[in-house]
Amino acid sequence: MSEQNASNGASRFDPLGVLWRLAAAPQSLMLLLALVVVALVLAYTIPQIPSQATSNPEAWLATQSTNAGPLNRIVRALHLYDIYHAIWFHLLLAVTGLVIFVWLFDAAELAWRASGRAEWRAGDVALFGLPVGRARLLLPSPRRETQDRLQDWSRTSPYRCSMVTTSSDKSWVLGRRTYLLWLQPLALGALLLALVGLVIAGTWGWQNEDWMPAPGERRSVGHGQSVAIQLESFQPPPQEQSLQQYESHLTWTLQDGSSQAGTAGFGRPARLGGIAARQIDYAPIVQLTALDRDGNPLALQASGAELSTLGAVEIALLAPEEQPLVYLPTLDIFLGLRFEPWCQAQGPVLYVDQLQSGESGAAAIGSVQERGTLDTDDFRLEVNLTYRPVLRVDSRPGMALVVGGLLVAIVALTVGWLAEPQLVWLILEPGKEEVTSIRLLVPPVLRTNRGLSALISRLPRELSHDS
Amino acid sequence: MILEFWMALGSGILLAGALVAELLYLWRRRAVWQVLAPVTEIAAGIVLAIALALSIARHGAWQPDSLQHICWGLALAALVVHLAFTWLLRVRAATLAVDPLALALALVGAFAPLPASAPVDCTQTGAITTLTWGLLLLGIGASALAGGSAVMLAVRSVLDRFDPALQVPERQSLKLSLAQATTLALVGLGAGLTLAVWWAWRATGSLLASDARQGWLAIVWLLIAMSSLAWRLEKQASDWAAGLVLLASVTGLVSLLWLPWVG
Repeated sequence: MSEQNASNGASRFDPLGVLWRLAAAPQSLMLLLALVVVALVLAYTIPQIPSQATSNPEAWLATQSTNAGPLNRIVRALHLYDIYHAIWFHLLLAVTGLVIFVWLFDAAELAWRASGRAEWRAGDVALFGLPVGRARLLLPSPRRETQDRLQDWSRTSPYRCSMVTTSSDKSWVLGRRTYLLWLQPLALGALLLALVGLVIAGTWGWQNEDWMPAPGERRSVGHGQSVAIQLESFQPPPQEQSLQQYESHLTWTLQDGSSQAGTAGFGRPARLGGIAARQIDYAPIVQLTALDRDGNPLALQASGAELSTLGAVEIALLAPEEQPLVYLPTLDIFLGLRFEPWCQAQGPVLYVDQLQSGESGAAAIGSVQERGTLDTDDFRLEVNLTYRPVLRVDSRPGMALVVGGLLVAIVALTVGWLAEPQLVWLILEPGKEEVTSIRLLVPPVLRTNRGLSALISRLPRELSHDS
Repeated sequence: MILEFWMALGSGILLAGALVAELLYLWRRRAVWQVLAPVTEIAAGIVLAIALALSIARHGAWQPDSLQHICWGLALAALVVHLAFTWLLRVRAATLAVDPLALALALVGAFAPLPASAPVDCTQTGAITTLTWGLLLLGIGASALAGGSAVMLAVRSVLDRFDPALQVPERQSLKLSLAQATTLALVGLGAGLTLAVWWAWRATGSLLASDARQGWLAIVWLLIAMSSLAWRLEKQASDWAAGLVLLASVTGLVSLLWLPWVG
């Protein structure tokens, strides 16, 4: 007999059920989120490898200041220098996704029952838990009378009242706007989609290096795709002058030789199928020509260039804080260039300063907004300021899922919070001396519900003799 | 000194007045203190809103790199959420925490150095940047209120022991304020981060915005989500929820106010 009991006990052990309950526990999701938080904190405190260096991480790691010591061994072993692509991080996201799926299933079950698709059974009480506030009400009337009052009250109140059919206790479920409980599985499903999108965006797709083309310049884009892109022009649309409104007019050339025009602006990518060309920035290009007093060209040497050029030099100002130098070997003079960008009301200005070799300090020569000539006692500078777009071409199939999923989840959360579904399980128990005790249970998702707290507070009054 | 500096100082004085009124109400429950505190807070909020509007107008747009805009925006967000809870939920649970915070932020904003130049990142277009930061500040303001409720929950027992006659808000009110402010923070911060992610994707093809603060605010959002989940625990739910949201609000404040200075 005891052996039979033991074997029955063993057969009742359900590993899938245990795993399910483990995943459905709030502690599990909290722990997983805590691990994601730790991973993100590490990603923001440990320098992460740039995407262009991922092909040779050892070379990049060798240049880091934390290259030596035991900490470095941990960083290398756990791929903490590239957390978003580390296997353990993807595993963490996958487990989080599985847990969210379990929550989604449980939330959908609750919404299904609450919306009246299935009758409440005694076992469904497991979907409910204790409320944050009062968990028991005492009413000064016998159970039978309280039950009648509850039925009468439910006919006139906005709450739908259902009796639990197979319960040994007298249990009732009160619900209001319970269809809104579907918002929770919707939000969880959307979060799951966002997570899937995050994994897709992190593993698939490609992104070309940033490109600063001159008009007419062309390059092939994509991995294994014969698509070329050419910049036709970079100019403002009619009636617009701000550089923020400048647009890159592009031409896509497809494998079959056909071409398609596109326009990219800041935050407005040009698209061809799944490929997007984004205008992420612009760079001022300064063309300088130096002439002596007689109008003869002077040699100029841009910083970084090994040889001087007799004629125009072209300098790209890639960062706003960049202040490149140009050397005039004939006069032994350095010219400092300083660009002040234009995002608001004032136009962009290029300032040119003169620095004498071996002397400290700079003397301003002048400033130019588009094109102009700057005169000094010794030489004349012809300055032409133009702009080129910085383009980024990519194909990220999962990004729409990430953004769309997050958006739906936030909207569902907001509507659920503002409109508040209400659901409460009442267990009527006979008390001493003609008193009925009502035990209150609420779904964990509604524990902090404002309306439910208010209902629990006013229910004794509603069911009292005087009501 | 420019006008908005004096307005921020005036707002600070009004907030100090509200705090004194609230402390007096805590000590002796009189109707005059009960009315005076929120009225002074409303006046402080209006003055601070005008100062912020003037500062924005002076700079041409909302500037996320301006410590003044961040401080005043955050103080205003915390005050608005606090007053909305007072009006809609009849809960003034975290006044003793929100008023000093708003006061400190108004003063820090008043004395903060102005940004050196106009914004140079042209992917930050005015309307989207303003909306994103408005939502982010609403979220952090709500988390500050939740954090304040958590602090009040923690000190309530101490205050009770110190002087049981003190009119400390009810534990149930504090829990309601904590839970509702946490949800508002989850929604506000989530909406701001979603907008930031969408714009970063549109503008740069990346999920990560160029502003590192938004990355840290994503961490804050996860902590708030954990706090929200903690309400489902069977034991010590409010303790866990309070602890986590307090951690989230401190992280949020540090991310916004300290991170830009350390890089």
